[in-house]
This record gives sequence, structure tokens and C-alpha cells, in this order.
Amino acid sequence: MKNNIDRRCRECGIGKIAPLARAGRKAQHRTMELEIPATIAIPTCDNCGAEWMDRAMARKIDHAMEGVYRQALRNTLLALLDQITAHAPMRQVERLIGLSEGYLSKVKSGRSEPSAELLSSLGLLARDVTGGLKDLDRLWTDAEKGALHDKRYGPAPSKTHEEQGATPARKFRRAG
Amino acid sequence: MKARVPHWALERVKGLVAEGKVWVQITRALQFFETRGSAYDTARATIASLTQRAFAHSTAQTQDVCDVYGVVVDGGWYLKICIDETVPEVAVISFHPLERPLRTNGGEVKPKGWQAPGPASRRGR
Repeated sequence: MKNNIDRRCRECGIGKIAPLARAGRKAQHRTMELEIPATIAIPTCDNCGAEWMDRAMARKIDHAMEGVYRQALRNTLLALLDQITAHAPMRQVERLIGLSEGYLSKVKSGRSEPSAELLSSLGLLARDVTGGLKDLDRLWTDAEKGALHDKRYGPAPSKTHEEQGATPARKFRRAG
Repeated sequence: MKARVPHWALERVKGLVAEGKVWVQITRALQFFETRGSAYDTARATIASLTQRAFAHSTAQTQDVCDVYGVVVDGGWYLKICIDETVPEVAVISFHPLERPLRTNGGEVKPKGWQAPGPASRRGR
């Protein structure tokens, strides 16, 4: 790819495309709109402002944005944990969300990276910690009892072998 | 009815794409993808699989002639390309979901979830 060629912008047909690095540019990356690092020079039309890229530039921007995104996840997680642990012990939260004991401490201390999925769960929980934990407790109780069960997906978890429709007892009676 | 023919020969467009000579302006598409890389790769793969059936019409930009295609990505998408002969490479000028149906050689490509306007709007009310 010849990156040193003077390209005319095909969007407006007027401007020339040149690398432009500046603060204040925002872009969607995964789940968030974040500021692109000011040091990243993106080929930009000097007339209409259209941003152009080839594969290498796309990857360069993604790499830079991934760092920004990871930091935003961490900052959000720390704020959410402060909110949540003001109402409930971390151990209880870990148990009901399905995390291993001590995992949230690991994430909080930076020894593990938070995921967007984790933040989604914590974010919803933080809106109503007490109510949310009760709902989670009820969810798992209902799941154990098969109350949420749809028979299209197989037998309910609490059903015995006979309840599932197996016939060894009936065969025994027929033979008798 | 005779099929419309793109201004930029599809074989040449695909040849340049196969060599990785694609330069994209897809700011509008970014909101539909996780990363710029995935948006770029989807645009490139879409062009690589183009057929003349997907061609809609050619259109004059300020100093270029561009070809417009209606493709199915997740619902109907609008793709506008030309070849920048100064490089040469394929320039992807637009790649985003359709806002309204687009008639192509292969028939009408509709936006995702498109519902035709009701009789009142057709009367121009």
C-alpha cells in the first residue's frame, strides 16, 4: 500500500488527504464512544474532514482505542464496585453473579482485566443493589426448581430419572 | 430488460481488493461494528463477493464516477465505490445500511425491517 501518495478525497472530490493528529475526536469502539488518542494521525480530508483508512490504519486505531477502552472499563468498574459494596459484601455479589471467590478483589487491584460482560452485570445490579441481589437469588432458586424450564431444551434439572419418562420400572412390571 | 453495467469493471475492482488495495471512508458504518478492523474487513469481503446482480447505478461525484451496489449484510446495505487511478486502488466512499429500498439488477434490496409507506403517504399528504 503506497501511503506516501497524494490522494484526493473521493468523498468531496476537492480536498487532499493528509495525516491529521488532534485532540477531541470521538469514535465508537466496542460498547462505548471514546476519545481517540490525540497522538494518532488519521488520514483526513483537508476540505470535508472525511477520515480514510486502509487495513493497517484500521488496526492501528483499534489498537490505540483498545487501550482507552480497557482503561474506561476499569474506571467504570471501580465506581460500580464502590456503589455496590456500600450495600452488600463482595462475596455475596460474587456468589450470585457466578464469579469465583475473590475475583472482584483481583479485578479491583488490577491483577485481572474486567470484561464488558462483567460490567454489564454489575452496572444493572448497581441500580438497585438490594433488590437486584434478591432477584438474582430468586433466579437461581427458580432455575433449580425448573420453574424457568422450557421442555424443548431437555428435562428440567430437578426431575428424577422416572419423571423424565424413562421406563425401567414399567418394563419390570410388564415382565412380572 | 437489459442489466445495467457498472462503470468500474467488477473484475478489476475485485482484483484490486484481492491485492489489499482498498481505501475506505466508513465513518457511518462504524456504529454497526465492534471495531474499525471488523468494519474494514466486512467492507472488503462484501466487495470481494459482489456480482453484477447487486449493481444499482452509476453516479457522478464531484470529479469521479462511482458505482452503487445494494448488498445484503444484515438487511440491505448501500455500497458506493470507485477506483482511484492515481494509486490505483478501490475507494469505498459509502458503506452503510440502506435508508430506503434500492433497485438493483437482481431486484429490490430493502433496508432491514422495511415497511412500505401507507396509502396516505403515497397520496403525498
